[in-house]
Amino acid sequence: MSEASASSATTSATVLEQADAERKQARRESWRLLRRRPGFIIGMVIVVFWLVCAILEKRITPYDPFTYTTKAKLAPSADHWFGTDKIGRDIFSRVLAGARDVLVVAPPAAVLGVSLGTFVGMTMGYFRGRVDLVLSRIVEAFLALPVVLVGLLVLSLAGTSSVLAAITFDSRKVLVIYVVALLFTPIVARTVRAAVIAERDLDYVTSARLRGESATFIMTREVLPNIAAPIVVELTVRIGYAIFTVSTLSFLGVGVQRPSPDWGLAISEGRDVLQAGIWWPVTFPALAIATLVIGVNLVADSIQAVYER
Amino acid sequence: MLRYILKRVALSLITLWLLVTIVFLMVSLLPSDIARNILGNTAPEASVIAFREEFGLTDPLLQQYGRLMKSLVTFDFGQSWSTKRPVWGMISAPLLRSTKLAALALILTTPISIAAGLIAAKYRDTRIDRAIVLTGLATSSIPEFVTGALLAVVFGVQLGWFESVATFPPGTSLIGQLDYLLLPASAMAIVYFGYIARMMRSGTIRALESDYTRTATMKGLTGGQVMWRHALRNSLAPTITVVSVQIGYLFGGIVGVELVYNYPGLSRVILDAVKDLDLPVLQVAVIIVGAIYMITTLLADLVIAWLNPRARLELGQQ
Amino acid sequence: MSTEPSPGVPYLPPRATAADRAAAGAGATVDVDERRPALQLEDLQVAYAVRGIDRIVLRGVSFSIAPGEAFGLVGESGCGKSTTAYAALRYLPRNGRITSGHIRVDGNDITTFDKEQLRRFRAEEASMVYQDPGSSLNPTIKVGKQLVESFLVLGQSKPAARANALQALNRVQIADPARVMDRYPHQLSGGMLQRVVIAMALACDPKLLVLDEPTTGLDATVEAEVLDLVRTLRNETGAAILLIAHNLGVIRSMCDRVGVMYAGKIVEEGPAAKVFDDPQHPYTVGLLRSLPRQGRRKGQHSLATIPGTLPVLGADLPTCVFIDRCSLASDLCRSQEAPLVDLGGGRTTRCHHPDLIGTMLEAESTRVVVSQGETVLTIAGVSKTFRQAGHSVPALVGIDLSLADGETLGLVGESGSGKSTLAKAILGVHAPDLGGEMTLDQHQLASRIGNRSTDDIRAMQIIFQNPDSALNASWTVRRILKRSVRKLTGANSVDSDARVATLADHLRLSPRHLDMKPSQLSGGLKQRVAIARAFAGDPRIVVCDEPTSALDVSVQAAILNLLAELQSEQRTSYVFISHDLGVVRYLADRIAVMYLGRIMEVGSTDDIFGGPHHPYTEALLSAVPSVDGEPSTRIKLEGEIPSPANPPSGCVFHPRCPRRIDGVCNSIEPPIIEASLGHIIRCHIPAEQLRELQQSPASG
Repeated sequence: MSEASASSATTSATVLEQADAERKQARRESWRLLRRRPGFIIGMVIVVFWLVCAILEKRITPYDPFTYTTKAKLAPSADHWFGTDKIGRDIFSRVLAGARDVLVVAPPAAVLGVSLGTFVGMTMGYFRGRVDLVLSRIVEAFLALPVVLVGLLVLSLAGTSSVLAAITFDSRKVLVIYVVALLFTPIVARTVRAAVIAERDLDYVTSARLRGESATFIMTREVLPNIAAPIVVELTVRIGYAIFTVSTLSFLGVGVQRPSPDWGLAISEGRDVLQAGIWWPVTFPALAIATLVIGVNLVADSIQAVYER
Repeated sequence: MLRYILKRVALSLITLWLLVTIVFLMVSLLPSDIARNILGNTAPEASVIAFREEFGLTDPLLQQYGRLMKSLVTFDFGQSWSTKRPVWGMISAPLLRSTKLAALALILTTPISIAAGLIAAKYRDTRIDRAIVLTGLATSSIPEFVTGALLAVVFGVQLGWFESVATFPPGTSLIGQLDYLLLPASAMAIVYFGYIARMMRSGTIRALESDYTRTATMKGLTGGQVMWRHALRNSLAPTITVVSVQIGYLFGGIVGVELVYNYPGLSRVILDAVKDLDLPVLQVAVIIVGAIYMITTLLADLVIAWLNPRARLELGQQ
Repeated sequence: MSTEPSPGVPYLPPRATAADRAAAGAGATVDVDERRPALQLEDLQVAYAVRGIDRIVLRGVSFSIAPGEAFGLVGESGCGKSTTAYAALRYLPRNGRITSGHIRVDGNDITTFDKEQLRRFRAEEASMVYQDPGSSLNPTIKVGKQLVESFLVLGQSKPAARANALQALNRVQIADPARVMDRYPHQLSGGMLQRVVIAMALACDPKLLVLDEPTTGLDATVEAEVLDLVRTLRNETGAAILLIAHNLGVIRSMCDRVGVMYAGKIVEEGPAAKVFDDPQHPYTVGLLRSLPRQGRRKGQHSLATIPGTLPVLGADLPTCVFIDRCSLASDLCRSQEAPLVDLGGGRTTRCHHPDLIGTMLEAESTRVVVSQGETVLTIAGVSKTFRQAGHSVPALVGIDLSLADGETLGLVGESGSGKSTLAKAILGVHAPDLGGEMTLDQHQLASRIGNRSTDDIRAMQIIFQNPDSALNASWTVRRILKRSVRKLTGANSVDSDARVATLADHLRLSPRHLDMKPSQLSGGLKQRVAIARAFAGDPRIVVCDEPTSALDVSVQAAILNLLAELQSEQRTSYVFISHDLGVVRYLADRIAVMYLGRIMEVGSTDDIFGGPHHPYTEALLSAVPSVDGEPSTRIKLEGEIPSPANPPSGCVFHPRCPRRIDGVCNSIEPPIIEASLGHIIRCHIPAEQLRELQQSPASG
């Protein structure tokens, strides 16, 4: 018996080395697969382009995006590639600079929302029972309303108070981050709750209980690492939605305020001259939003595909 | 079954109550002077005080809340604080117009998306599949107002095929209205195409990979018979759920689209009410949008139960 | 014995003769047609594309089945037996393809068929029965409609198809066909569904019937009924049968001939009885010796294990496929492909050294069986009622049991019997209903784990069925073990590191395993980690909940050996749950037989197997097909296991009991009778009468 097992140990060791090597190779391969996905590359190029614009902002724009430099409503030309807006600002410069507003707000909002949602979802999933019932109702209530509608409501109602000013550091952008994060919380919570419920029925959780572990330990140390993959996927997806939401809120006039070159705001401003055939103030910011969200979603989709493999 | 429906309706009512309460608390607790807000900065102090008296804004919160609940339970929604017109009168016509737009969007998008999803699943991993999946991914991630703006630029302003303003003159025939509504409806349809097609694709792939389609294939059924008789019924369930949720959310996206096309729908009413902190109007708008979501999701669950007897069983046990 | 000289000579599969089949004694005698074979595989190679690379799963499989003959394929998971089954109907996963070879059914090479020919072939000539009947039927379509479809495909009119469907259900012994036709799959039990699937398979009166693990996952008594049915139908139809099963007993009781597969090759082939009684390939020998068969007990024999693990999918195996694990491997084996050796009598083996098989010795056990000491655990009047959709479901009813120091108590019973619920109640995971009492070492146990003292928690641990779910996938083995050691013993970090090293050494986990995550380990190693964790705090009692049923038999043997050794060293008591009576018999000192949340019989292992039996135990014992082919008279049970939510009156077993006394059993709860000291049966029939009724014991 022991001899057989000893030889078994050595053979299985070599097999394990093989398995280990294969695993490492698989990991390298999944990175290679990711890089090979055209969607991932295209998405990354787009995202990096806008990130560079957001970081460099005025340093790379041909004109000052904030002051009018020439005549208003000029059609696209060699001097002004995207034309000028109704008060004579260079649209190309404003579109490049506008990346900063959305990229400063949307990713932090997504990160905050996913963190809060993970916390709430784990609480619901682990405790089930009454806690889950009450929280589920509230989550359900939030889910019943479109995110944009609630955001509109909250942002317009959030007047000026000293408390609000203190926690938002007197910044509209921070307020938008908070609101979007709060709106995402119930959605993320629902996803995380489902993942936790699937996970907590597994025997390793029972086993942890059978050695007397506390609920906090089980949730944070045992379960959380095992639901990391869906949370990461959720985060990448949420960044896309955050851009979507933030620009819609700007468009509705409750997000970032003038004279910011924010894209949503720009479309809203250009709307009334559209009828007169002046299409460029609307078109270029719209294309900017479209490319950025598509880029982010291409990356998110590739990550999801590779994670779920 | 009836018990299940009653239970779902009861739960929905609780959710609606929660919604109303949340909105009430937000309006009442957030530091805004409603009367001053509505009457403007130049209004004399006396009229501001009179306004507060008229709508009981100085009453204790609980009393205001009680009045609100009473008005909701009796379906007497009262009058708007800013226009002093009856709330229901203000909301009914725009609601109808928004519904018309949303319905058109759904009619446009659902059949095309389902067909695209089926085709993608059938020709999985081919170029057709990748094209459909990528199109869906791209279109569903762009906000409705952006798509709307781009469509207006191209088909409204540049090509001039359709009207880029959706306010049709009174008396326009239903067919004539299409001219005005097609662009905004398409803007929404394009966004939902991605969600629905992707769901249909994954649902169909799951059904095609299941053991029971294997059994059907082994019986000697043709590919078409396997797809239509065995796979489709099972693959529809997740799609129906998505469509129902999207119907609920149509009223979120519609706000941006209506604004782009100057369409006199619900969005105008909501935006004005939000600006004025017109609580009675806001409450009713929130209830309507929430109720639409709940009704559509309930209907979806019932349709799924009708399609799949096992889901019926699970519903009965819930 | 002659050795095939070169691999260049085309291989002709040996044909079984009538004499062989008579010798096989497979129960059924069928007129076997000696015309062309119903199924003939010629050097079939199948590859799966994994990440763009072809991985070979079948490395040249050849065999043939005569019309009316039943051929079995056995082997451990990953050997390619299911791939072979599906390939026989040319149904491969999307990434699979036939790279070379031929599949002839009734003389036609189906590898050349186009889509329409293939469809007609599946509709009219070949059928299949699948592993999981629950998922093989469409959940949204009524069973009747799905069955009728099988007849419509043959071009029958609707009324004719429906009439034939009803008749087909009659044929598979379904009592109320019209009612069953009107049901959806989820409304029928697994056994019923498998009958429906069989009825579907027989609709076209197939020349070839492929059964892929048709009874895996079904309860023992249901399995026996389904196998009986297949046997009967086989005699009626004369279809050739290809049966895939991991359970060697099922193969032996059903098949004329058998092929043993390993790593995509058939390594041994011959009449079932001969292969199982006198194996001629080192792998077959290892496989059979790792089974706890012929009433072996832990004290007499340790089980043989096959060293090493199965080669990874698609590995390059230029010489003998079994080389890495074979004790007979020589330089010859390492340099040349193993030849196909004709042993005569329709037997072949793929080995360089068939003459040395006899030298493979079986080890005797040197293990000491611990004498049983004081009672550790007593359970008195424990019940557990679940609330489900407003109904109360009694999962355990008045359980009385005791467990002695160093003893193994086996818990057996079919699904719904409450074995696992009992285990969880003991451990405090599910608190039992008020009123029952559990004592550990003379002191009362709190019902909930949260209210138990550290000592009590430490005293009782569990080993789960599925190590994948039992081990945290994101922790390393070291962290898993260390956390348990620290939490259960309260040791400091340095001491617990030392203790982890000792534990690992004890369970033959090498230090490098400690730094791996569970997903990097094989199934057997994972289960070792789970056992090490259970033993981290020197428990008094370890609950083993089907610890080997997810494992292949050779791995199972190693785990059973390990459990027996740990017990003999540490005097640990086991509560051992298993549906496999052979395994329970091997390891258990005493056995409790459960049915619908009640204990029907308790006694020493010898008493339980020797009799007198409770009628349920009797049926259970007779239901198990044995790899040793001992004749057993099957006791047929009527009906299905009732729902625990709605248990029958009187004796809960009475509706299915072949020995029930009308008027008594259905109204009065049975008394407890003591057949001998410590052997308790819950039955209205006196022990002596039971013994007389059961004159021929089910197995020796």
